[in-house]
Amino acid sequence: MSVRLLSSDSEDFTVAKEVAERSMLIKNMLEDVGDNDNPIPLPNVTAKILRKVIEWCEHHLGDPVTNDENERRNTEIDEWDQKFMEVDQETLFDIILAANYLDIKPLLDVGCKTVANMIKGKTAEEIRKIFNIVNDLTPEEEAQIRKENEWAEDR
Amino acid sequence: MTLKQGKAYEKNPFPRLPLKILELITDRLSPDDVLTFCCTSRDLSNHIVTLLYRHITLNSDTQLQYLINALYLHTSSNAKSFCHVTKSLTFCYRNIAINLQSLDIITRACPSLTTLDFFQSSWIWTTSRLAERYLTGATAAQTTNTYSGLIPYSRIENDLIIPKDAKRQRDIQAVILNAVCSTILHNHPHLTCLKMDLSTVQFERSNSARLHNCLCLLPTGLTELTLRVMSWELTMDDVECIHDRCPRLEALDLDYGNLDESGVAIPGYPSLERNHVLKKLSLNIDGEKKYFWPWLWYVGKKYGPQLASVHFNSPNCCADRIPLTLEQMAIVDTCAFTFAQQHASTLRSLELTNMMIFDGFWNHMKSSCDQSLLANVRMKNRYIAEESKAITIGSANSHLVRLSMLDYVKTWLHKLDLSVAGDAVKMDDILCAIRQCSRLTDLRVLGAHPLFQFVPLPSILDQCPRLHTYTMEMQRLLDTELWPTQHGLVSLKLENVAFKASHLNRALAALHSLRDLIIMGSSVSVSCDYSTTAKRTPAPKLTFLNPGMSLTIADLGHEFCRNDYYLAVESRGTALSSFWVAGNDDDRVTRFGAYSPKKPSFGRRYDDPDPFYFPKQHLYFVLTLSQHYPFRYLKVNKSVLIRKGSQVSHGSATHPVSLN
Repeated sequence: MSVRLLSSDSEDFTVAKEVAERSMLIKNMLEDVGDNDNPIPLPNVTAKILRKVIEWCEHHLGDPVTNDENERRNTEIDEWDQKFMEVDQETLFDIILAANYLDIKPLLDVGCKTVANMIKGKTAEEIRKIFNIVNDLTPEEEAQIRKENEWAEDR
Repeated sequence: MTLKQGKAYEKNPFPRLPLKILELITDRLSPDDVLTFCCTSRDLSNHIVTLLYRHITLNSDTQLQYLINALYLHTSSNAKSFCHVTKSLTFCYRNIAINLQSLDIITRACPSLTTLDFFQSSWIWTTSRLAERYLTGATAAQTTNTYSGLIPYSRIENDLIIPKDAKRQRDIQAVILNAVCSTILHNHPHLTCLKMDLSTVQFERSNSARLHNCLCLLPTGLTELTLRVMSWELTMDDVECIHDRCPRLEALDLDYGNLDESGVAIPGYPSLERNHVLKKLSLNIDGEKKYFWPWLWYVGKKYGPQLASVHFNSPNCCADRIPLTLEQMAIVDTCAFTFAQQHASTLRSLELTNMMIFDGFWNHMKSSCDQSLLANVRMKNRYIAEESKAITIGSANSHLVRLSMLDYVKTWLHKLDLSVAGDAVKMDDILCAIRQCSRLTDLRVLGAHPLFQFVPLPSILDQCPRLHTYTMEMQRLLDTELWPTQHGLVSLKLENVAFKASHLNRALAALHSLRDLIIMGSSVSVSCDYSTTAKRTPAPKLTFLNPGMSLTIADLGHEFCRNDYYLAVESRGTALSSFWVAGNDDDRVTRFGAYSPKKPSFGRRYDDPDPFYFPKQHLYFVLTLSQHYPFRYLKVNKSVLIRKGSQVSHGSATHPVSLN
């Protein structure tokens, strides 16, 4: 059985129901409306991102579902997911936002892990460079932030 | 992670993210990384600094002092208001005793704590000290602090009522632990995760009852509980009591309990109330290996299919297989069958350390479920002995047990921790079985001793193309000329490994993705024709060609000198620019600075006229870097010397490392 999904830029996608149901949002909607031929509108997701999300859901279709709380601290990423996340930053952040909106927790976790790994072990200047962050802190302000939160520094 | 992977977006992407997503990102960073992230811009600082306080992890007494200063001394600090959202407090260092006054300050500042994690031996020393004071008649200063609605931890000593029959230190400790549990129960009403030590200085069976009272004082809303119960005799009744008290418990970890050694028998529970909540169970247990089998029966009978992770560990068990009578074998078989029937098709993680496993166990697992979901498996025996006695419940031959296990778990296995020593080891068979695990990304292989010969590293990598992390333990680093091209291995760990510097250098040259090298308790040699009787030998030299490598070296040794060694860093093709000494006694870096051949320093200098000479107690160890790539991180013993590419001196970053 298949489901139709309509992206924000009006592209119509037909996917297997079990693929679409990796999204808790879509799963709940399908339960609410029952079997129906009308496409499900997804106003917060463009066709480009929806295509990526569907690709991820199809690949992970058979994955056992885990709700491991320790996942919160885990930063290991499956090799396929690493390659999947090798995209430009705009797409990466769009995927994260789409996973959040569609309520696909494992995809959201992979996205957040990818960003966390880009930050991990870097200096402030390196992080700014990676994400194009403009430094509007004076050296005194930066020193003040470090001073107030000195306990957090590794020693 | 390379920059290519996340090609910079034209504008800062973080303002687009809701706070919930920023939380998910920062939850995966250390406090140090979150603080650095805060310092990137004003906007991010405003948003993220509160997230820094969601999970407070203290790795040293210095960090604790800075936090206390921020909460108590600096009246202008925002820390007090940020701590209102603190969810977890973790003490992650071995500083003997917990300072109760400090704990009171933090408790008052963090009313919403849901996680309280004390380092494993923290309370044993605190209660021991209080009990000693009580026995010597020393009275504690009365605390005058008032905490509305809270019971100060620092008042425990003043308010203590010791029963007349509690005369010895360990009895008084047990009474104090009851008071501590009662205080935790009162002060942290939202607690869902608790990790603490309920041990006393000495095990004594008669004291167990007093300690068991602590279980009746556990917070009832716990979903995660780790108890160190070193001085207990652990029984299934204790576990039943914990489940009765904490019905929402999803993870239970009991550490180093002495097993109730009443024998290999099916426990006397005619009907156990099935638990449908617990997902993770970990038992670190002491006692003879055969007594853990009834616990597998218990796990099979007690827990529903939601149980995803089971970990049994018997850390102090010796290797000898204990003979079983025919009757005991039948019981063991029933236990294995009960466990397999209930959990074979649903378990995701199974760890068995120092357990007497026979291949019949894995056959039961396989006959209960043809395709396992296990993603993480550990099956290792630290102590290998001659064995292979025939038993009726299958073979105990380590090699056959390994092959049965690998055949069963190959489909979903991501992480494997395996002993490869034992009887009649056929390395090629093991390698072939490991190769069938096509999703394997994290492999740890335990040998028998530092000179044990397993498969050469290049062959492992060739057979496991997806490997991300490889850990070698108790074996020799073996090399071949045939390194796989473009292998993506990122992390390599050598623990108790004997290696030649030239072999490791070939690995460093061939592994272009390698970013992390950890060498612990290992010994290095320079050349194959090195003789232990020679007075002179060249300094071991490792050459790092990859950018931004992280290197951790601890307790490195040599055939006849361990622990004390000089390290030198040089960049390829240029003169040595930095060097330092790291000793094992106090773990202090005694010197770290620019190389200056004119300035004599400690003992023998690196530019000694005889640079290949070993001083009696010290080993020169040279790290050579590619010209443009300083280390990203360097730790020697417990001293961090370089963090984020900068030298660290006396706990703070100073000058960037200049090696060119």
